[in-house]
Amino acid sequence: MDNRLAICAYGAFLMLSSLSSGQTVAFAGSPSALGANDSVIWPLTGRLPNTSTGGLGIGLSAVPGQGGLVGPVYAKCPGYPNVYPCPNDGGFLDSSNFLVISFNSPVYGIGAAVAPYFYSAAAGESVPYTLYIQAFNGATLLGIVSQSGTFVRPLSANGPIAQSLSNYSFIGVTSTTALITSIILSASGPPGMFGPALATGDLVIHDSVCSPCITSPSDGASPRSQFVAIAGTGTIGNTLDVLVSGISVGKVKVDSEGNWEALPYVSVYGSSVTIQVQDQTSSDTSNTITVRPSLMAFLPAPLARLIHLRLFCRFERPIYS
Amino acid sequence: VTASDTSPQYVIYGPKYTHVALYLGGDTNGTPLIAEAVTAAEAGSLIGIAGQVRSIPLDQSLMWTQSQRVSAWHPQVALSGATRSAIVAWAQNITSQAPPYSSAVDFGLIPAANALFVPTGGILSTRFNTFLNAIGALKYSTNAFICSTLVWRAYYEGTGHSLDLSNPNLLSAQPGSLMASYSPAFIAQLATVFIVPETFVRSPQLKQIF
Repeated sequence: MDNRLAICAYGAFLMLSSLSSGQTVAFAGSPSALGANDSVIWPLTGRLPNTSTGGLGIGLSAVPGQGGLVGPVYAKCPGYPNVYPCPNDGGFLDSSNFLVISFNSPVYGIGAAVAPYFYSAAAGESVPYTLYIQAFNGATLLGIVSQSGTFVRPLSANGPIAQSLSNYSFIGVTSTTALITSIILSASGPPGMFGPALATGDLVIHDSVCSPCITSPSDGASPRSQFVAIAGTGTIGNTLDVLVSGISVGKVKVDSEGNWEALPYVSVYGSSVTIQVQDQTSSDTSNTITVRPSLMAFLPAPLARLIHLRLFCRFERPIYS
Repeated sequence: VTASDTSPQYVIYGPKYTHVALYLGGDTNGTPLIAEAVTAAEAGSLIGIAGQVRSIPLDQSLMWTQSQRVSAWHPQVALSGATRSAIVAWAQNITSQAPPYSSAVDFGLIPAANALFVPTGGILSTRFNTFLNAIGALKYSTNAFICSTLVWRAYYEGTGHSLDLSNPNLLSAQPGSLMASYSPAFIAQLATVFIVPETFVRSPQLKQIF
């Protein structure tokens, strides 16, 4: 169990973070702890964008768990008509509302800066809360991190949000490998407990640092074939060498959406082979995956087919060796 | 698009290629999957497992097990990832239903239509058109497929009908084949409703990868 205690400088945040043992993910209490290299602006209104804007341009989708928009919808706050609006219609993190964020390709981590928006508390009232991030790889739960604390509404409030925005809390989840394909960001607390902190990059991401990247299949896969269908991301328009056990077996061009696919021949009876791609322009290499074709895949095939199917790429004529 | 020297298509119209299939991408293990429609004889022992109109690992597909020549093609104009996914999804949906391969009786419509083909100044007989329409119904059927209609329809539906790989359909019969005796005018009529693997390799809308 990893417990951390922190006290914010203002607003009397008392935070206690934790994660369950045996998880493949860990709590990150700041963007730097997360290794953030990308971000998404969490808007005041409307939906989160479908592409990150502060880094590698990773595709994502964000869906509120209980209706409403992803971004808060505001109404004027009773008693503070000209200062700051109040939340009134979903898009928040509280006991009823959560946010599901999915990525087009796995990431190392993601964190959110959230601020208390609740408006029902009286000045000076303490409201306990817990923030949660559940991290998934596909349908597999990688782990849950949480952060508990108590927010005290400022006595000199000139509006509930005016004071709270500068007292945002950060919760993040990180993994040693790019495994996280989606998260559920949630919180306990009264209606409208948390919303975007309006900090720069209030949703930060640690994208895969590889570029190009092999995103499918995962490391250790066992294809039932003498070929392995690989796919990934890279710099748009660049050409990648496909390396099987370090040997170039062909090339593929990254398409206009930053994606590529290839089908290199990897037949080695029951043995493992490594696959990488290398950007011909930057010479950067991708992550390495190791695959072990399963024996049931090996059916007889004429030599001609082996030659012609050395590499089956969608985007560029392959080179045969 | 592949060729098998045991295919009866050689005798019928003398094609260079006799089978077409759709590459679906890989499963979670990286196993490359193929969508294809095969006859019961071609399905062999896998017919009870995968059926005739099926999504199947590359190594078990007809294009791998019974072909002497392989070529791969993709559209001249690159499709978006969403469109490619839609094409794959359509094919996966159809193969998950395991419809049958079109029956041999259906192919009998072609010589029957030829027998009725009496072009007179460009005017076609009603009876001929009836047969031609029946052949055309096979092209558009989603209850049964041949390899060509499965792949053609996947692109057609996945692109929202904007990519019709059967237009143009540069159908021909090679000298020495059964259809070589058919008139070019009949084959031109047939090309409007009947597609074969050669349709794809001759399509100006496709570009050969290898």
